[in-house]
Amino acid sequence: MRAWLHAHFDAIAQTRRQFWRRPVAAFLSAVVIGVGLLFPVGGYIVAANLKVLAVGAGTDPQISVFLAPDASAAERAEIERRLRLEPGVRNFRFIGKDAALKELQTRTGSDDLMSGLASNPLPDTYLITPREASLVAQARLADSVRNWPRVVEVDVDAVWSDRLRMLAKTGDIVVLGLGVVLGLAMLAISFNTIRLQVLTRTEEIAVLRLFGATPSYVRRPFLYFGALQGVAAALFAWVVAGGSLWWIEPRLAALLDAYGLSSRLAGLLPADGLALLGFSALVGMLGAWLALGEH
Amino acid sequence: MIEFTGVVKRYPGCREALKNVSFAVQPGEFVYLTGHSGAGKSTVMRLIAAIEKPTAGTVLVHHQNVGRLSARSIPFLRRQLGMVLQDHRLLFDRSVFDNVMLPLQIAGMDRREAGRRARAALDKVGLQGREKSNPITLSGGEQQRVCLARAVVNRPALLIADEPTASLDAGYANDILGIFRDFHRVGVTVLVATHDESLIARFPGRMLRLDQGILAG
Ligand SMILES: Nc1ncnc2c1ncn2[C@@H]1O[C@H](COP(=O)(O)OP(=O)(O)OP(=O)(O)O)[C@@H](O)[C@H]1O
Ligand SMILES: [Mg+2]
Repeated sequence: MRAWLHAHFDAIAQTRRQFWRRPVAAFLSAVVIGVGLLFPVGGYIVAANLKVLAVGAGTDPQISVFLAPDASAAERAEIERRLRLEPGVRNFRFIGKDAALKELQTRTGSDDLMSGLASNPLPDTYLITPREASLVAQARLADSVRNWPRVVEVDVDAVWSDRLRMLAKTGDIVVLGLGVVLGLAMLAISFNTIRLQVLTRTEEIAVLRLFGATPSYVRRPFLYFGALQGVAAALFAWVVAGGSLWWIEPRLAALLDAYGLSSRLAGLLPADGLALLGFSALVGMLGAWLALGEH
Repeated sequence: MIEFTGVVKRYPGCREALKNVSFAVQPGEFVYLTGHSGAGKSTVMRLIAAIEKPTAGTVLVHHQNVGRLSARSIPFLRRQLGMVLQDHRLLFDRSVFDNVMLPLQIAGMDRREAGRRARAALDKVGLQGREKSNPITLSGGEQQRVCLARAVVNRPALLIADEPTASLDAGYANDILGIFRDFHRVGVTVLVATHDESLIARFPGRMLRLDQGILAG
């Protein structure tokens, strides 16, 4: 146990010396690998946020019913009577065209939206919360409401959330693909930097072998170096991704609020970050292992 | 300690470097291996250290058949061996002290104990005070001494040296050989390859003479 620990401390000391021999080169390769990692990490964050959006939109399905602009109060009363009778409707809310305009004005912060228009172009709207959340039930409800008098359009939000969900699924596949391709790129970079070290140190390796070093003794510092380079790259990617989120979040908040969505972005969880570190360390080590070849 | 039986060594694309060589070195002996350049002295050394494998015959070191040793066992054979190579193989990216430490570090010795031994070895070859120097700043004779210190630092029972006095003047050569004699006196088995016959005349010992790969008396 002591000998084992000693061997590893020795390897770590050698790894440190290896780093200080070419600190700039080692640092820059870690940055290059880190930048490569940023793509799958960024993709992963985008996909995670899409998923949150899809879930958020899906839990509270809403159907918007737009009336003709010239619908009268009596016609609205008829719509409301039918809504009350309709068994698929849990509850509904009326947003008059004036209220909708006012909300739009406060949301966009400009009062002169109307300056170029003769009259309010927004329609009266009913927001329906259906009793059943299933897409089929929502579609059936939407179809029947669409045939009512003075209804010009029915918009099922589920379509949107469904699209988001599909997008998120596609995002996952894209992220996975990016991960594989960039994992290979990382492997190549790690292989190259460590191959170079091995080549510049062939004499040292030969002398080590002559004086009784086992192959694993020779390999260990290089493997550690590869792993540490991977960890440094992953830390770089983690910090840059986290920093970007931190920068972007307040700037995106207004937009997300406008859609009634949570303004908190999903970031990298500690578990994600650790997985990233582990993955990167493994790839770095694998690159080193390949670079060592027969040594 | 060392036993060659019918050893043949043929390098790829070369005539035979050793032809049916048989000899034995007993524990505690001091033996010279001589012969003209190209006679096969270094080849004998390389076979002992398992750097090369014999084409035919057996090489025994410490009763181990070196030619049959698995790749896993070779490092452990080398750790029992003190070795001075014809080309120094010193590492110029580290100090004299670290060069001498190398075999102990490889063997996984505690750093404090290893440092003590490395200093003792450097003392013995008369290089105290040069520990921090880079070997490239040392003279040829001093570099030979560093090699010698590195060879004996793990206190081997068998010391093999390939031309340890090559390109040294007589004074330096005498010093170096004196150190080998000292190790021999404390019980180390020594095999020195050299073509310097005047040296052998000054420090008598058993002689093995190689001539074109054939052992002649
Ligand atoms: N690695 C090798 N590949 C091919 N031939 C070799 C190799 N090493 C040695 N030889 C050949 O084997 C023969 C013996 O070489 P060796 O190095 O054993 O001689 P030596 O007695 O040590 O000579 P010197 O006194 O010049 O060091 C020589 O003819 C040499 O050319
Ligand atoms: Mg030779």
